Amino acid sequence: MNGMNNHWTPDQPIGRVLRASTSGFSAGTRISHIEQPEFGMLVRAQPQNGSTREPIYGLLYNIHIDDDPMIRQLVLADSVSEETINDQHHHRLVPVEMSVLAVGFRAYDGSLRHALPPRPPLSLDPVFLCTADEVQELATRFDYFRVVLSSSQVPSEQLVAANLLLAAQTLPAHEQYPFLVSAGRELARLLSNDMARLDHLLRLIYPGEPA
Amino acid sequence: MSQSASELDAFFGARAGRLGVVVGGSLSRGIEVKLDPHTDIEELAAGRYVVVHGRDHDGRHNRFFSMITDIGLGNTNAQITNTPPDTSNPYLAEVYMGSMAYGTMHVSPMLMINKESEVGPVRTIPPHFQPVWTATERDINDVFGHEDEAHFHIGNPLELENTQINVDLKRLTERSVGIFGKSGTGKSYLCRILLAGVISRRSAVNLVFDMHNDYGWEVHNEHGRVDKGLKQLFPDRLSIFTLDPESSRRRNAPYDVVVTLAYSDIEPEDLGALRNTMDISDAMLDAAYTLKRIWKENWIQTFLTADVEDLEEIVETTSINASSMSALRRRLERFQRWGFLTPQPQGDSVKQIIDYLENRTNVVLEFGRYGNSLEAYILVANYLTRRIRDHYVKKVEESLGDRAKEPPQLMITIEEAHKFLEPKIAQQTIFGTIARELRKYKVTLLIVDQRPSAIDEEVMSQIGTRVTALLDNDRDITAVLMGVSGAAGLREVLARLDTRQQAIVLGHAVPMPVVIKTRAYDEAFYMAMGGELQGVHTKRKRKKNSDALYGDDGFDGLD
Repeated sequence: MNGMNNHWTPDQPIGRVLRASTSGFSAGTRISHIEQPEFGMLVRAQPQNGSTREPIYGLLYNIHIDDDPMIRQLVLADSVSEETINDQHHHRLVPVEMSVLAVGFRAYDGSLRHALPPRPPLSLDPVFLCTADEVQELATRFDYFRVVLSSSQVPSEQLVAANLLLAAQTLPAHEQYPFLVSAGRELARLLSNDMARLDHLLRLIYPGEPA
Repeated sequence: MSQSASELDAFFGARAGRLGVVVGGSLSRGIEVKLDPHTDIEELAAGRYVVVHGRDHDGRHNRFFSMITDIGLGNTNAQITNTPPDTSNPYLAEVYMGSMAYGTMHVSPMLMINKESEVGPVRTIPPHFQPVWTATERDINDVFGHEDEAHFHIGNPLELENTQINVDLKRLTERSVGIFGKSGTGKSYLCRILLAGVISRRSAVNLVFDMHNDYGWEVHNEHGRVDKGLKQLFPDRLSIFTLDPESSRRRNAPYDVVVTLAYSDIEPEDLGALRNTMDISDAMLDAAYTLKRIWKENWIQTFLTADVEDLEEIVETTSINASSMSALRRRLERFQRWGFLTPQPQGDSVKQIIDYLENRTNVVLEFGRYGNSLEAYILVANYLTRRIRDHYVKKVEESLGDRAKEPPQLMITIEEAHKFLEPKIAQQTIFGTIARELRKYKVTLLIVDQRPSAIDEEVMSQIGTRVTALLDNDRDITAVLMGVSGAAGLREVLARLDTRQQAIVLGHAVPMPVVIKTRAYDEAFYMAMGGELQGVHTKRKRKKNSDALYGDDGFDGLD
């Protein structure tokens, strides 16, 4: 893939769009790039230069590695050399698939809207990890919680908790706990009718001291 | 931001903190407020002030000046009460408290400050979700103004000790005033502070029936310290009269005049006031009227010295029956134990008191040891007040033709007031008459009592200003709050006052009901009163608001 090598920098894409719909998309990448994306991260599908399409933001909720006939054979071998493994990691023709739940898009006026995008990204649009500024911009409001919590295709509690913990890390230390408390209160508002789910989610964010 | 927070504080006074938002309510019931998560519910207290901001119009909004009347706990899911969250996890505790579990308060709007900063009564309520703030010193000062010639500082609002609550003395004295509170809550102190205000500003001249020698000269307080009496604060404006000069000498308390009354001055009407206290029946009272008719003005003395034949003749020639007459005589014999009642009094004490009062000298009548006899207190107070009031009626009627003859506004202070104003006798005693007459004859009452529920309802409804320390009897609380709008909320406040130095002031002399920490009666107070005598006052800032709020004098009791 163009622009992608073993020495990754933030302005490089972590992959490209494989499949897409307005509710989300999948991106493919090399197995050697799997150290950058994490479950719960905010990513952006960026349209090609010159396109009038809007950048689409989403939460990475699944990283999937498919097998192929070669891998099937290799896993049965008595021993696999390090060279073979490295070769599979760097030159394998089956991409690592990352699933993304769309939570917002950049509108024409420049604002970040917490809503499903008007159209999906196109195949091969580059997908970037969002910068700390973008993460904080999304987290100034918690409107995207409802999209995540109401989605049946994602592990919603795990995803919200992971995203909040990652978002908190972009803040100065003294702002992290108040941020998590205000996010927690918004979750409590949304899940006021489901205490068990809320309790589970909050404990994922802050497990507390072991008993 | 060019101004620092401290500069803003210096300009505006302490800044308000947002407490919550309006979530419901009505004009009659008051407003429900959901507290913000950061609001510490333990920092709130019934009786404190909050300000609800109305909807913003071009940067201006109405302010609803309100009192906290109730504080509660709510939740969005009843399940949380059955399975409370694990609060050992501080994050869970902090998230749940303020979201699913939250605080509420009920506030009663008392006044509205409109967009033009004019203060007026509340005739509407703010809409949903308007913010509620703590009241600042500036808000309080906008409502209660500053101390000046007509306004007297009686205490501070709770938690805002740099702010003064001032009563309008003219309005205080032109209607009757009640000071209520259970025993030991500082009624006498409250009374002394109010009297000091009235005397210092000369808003009325006072006659105090001082049952326990609490007002004239110094008194030992419960901490063993000596508090100055009003005579010591206002030596040239107040005179002490005594019924018991021996007691005054024993207490080393100087007095100006000894009061003696003649048996011949006692009218059967005076006995009517003692009906309950001395267990005088209707038949005995009828007998008294008959004896007065037969023996004229010396009827009591003649009756007490009459022999058996004389009494038998009376029984035979009148409708009085023997048992009523002997029962009446036994009761009147108690009068012989009272040294101030004599066949030949020294001078006319009533005239002396009236002369002092007309010269605008306040009078404290000390009862000495007779203060322990409720009968003596009621008899003397009733006897003197009847004659003084008759004099005032005459003078006021004369002044209709000649304003120069108008007597000064008179305020008469009585303790154990329910003994004078019980429903059964209030219609007959002079105090009931004065309370009902309002200011028609320029005589009003300052009644001090611990059982307001025992006072006649009609009399209570005519008490313009009520200053109430802690009351814990439901009937007493109901009686004090009768006719007050938003009374349900005030009940909670009244029942939770501290036992010392706290009171609610409501009615004619204040723009809205207010809980105060009473001004201390100490050296600083004496100094302030000394300053008053030299004419040192601060200026009232918002007279315009006061006029707008109080309007003219069309008062018909509490609404």
